Amino acid sequence: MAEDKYSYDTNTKWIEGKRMKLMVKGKPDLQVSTPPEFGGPEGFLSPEDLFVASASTCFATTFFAMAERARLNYVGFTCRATGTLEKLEGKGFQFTKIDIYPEVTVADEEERERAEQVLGTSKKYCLVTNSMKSEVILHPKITVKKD
Amino acid sequence: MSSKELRYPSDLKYTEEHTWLKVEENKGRVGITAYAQNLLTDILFVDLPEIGTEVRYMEPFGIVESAKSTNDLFSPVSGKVVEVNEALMKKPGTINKDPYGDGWIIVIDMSNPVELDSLMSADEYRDFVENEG
Repeated sequence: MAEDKYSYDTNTKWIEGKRMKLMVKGKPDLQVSTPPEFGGPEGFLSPEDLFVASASTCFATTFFAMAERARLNYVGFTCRATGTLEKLEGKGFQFTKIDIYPEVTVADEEERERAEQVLGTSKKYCLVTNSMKSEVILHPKITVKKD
Repeated sequence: MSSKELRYPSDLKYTEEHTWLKVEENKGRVGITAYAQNLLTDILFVDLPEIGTEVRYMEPFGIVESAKSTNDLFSPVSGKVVEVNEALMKKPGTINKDPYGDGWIIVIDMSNPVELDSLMSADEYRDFVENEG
């Protein structure tokens, strides 16, 4: 049975310039930096990337869980996401919107309606996007695999 | 939604396992109550029995899987399943939208109508869920 409370620990260590190492115990390290548009180097993940990715990957993991519960027979899943960062009057930059573009491939046209329901339910229960104050907009697409 | 805001149609009979039964001559139409669907949240899958399956009083006849949990469905009476709501296979969420109407689950040809006497009336069921909650 699931607990009611969990905690997640991360740690960062400066490397040089605007780069750092992101560490989570028992998991691979990641190099993260200020993004180029704010004066950081090219070629590294930024907190902005991770913020948007946390929305899309959590949506995906929620989809996997809901699809399992629904016995949805899907054969493919991709999920692109775009975060819109805007300078707000008196508040600096904030993510105002995250557009999530999940695409589910089902084997049979009969599965389309249930795939729609599972995607909608996944948005409702995605714990990361539910924790964000940005507007989250889902743009679902369902395709039927052609033989 | 609190248990007091939910509907309890007076023409139905109810079980402590939150299934309802509507008597239609010698048959009984079965579903889960508004209270149950509200607890379960979004229903994603219903495992339906096949027509002809013998079901027994207060024993499981299927399962319902929601965003939050998996639960058995309990039969309010004994008898043979004569209809199943196949539409739920495609749209299980109908149970959330219309638990007492299009969200019905099976129809049973009742073999022991005396069992009806042990089921709760709407008022009794309302008291039951308000005390449970």
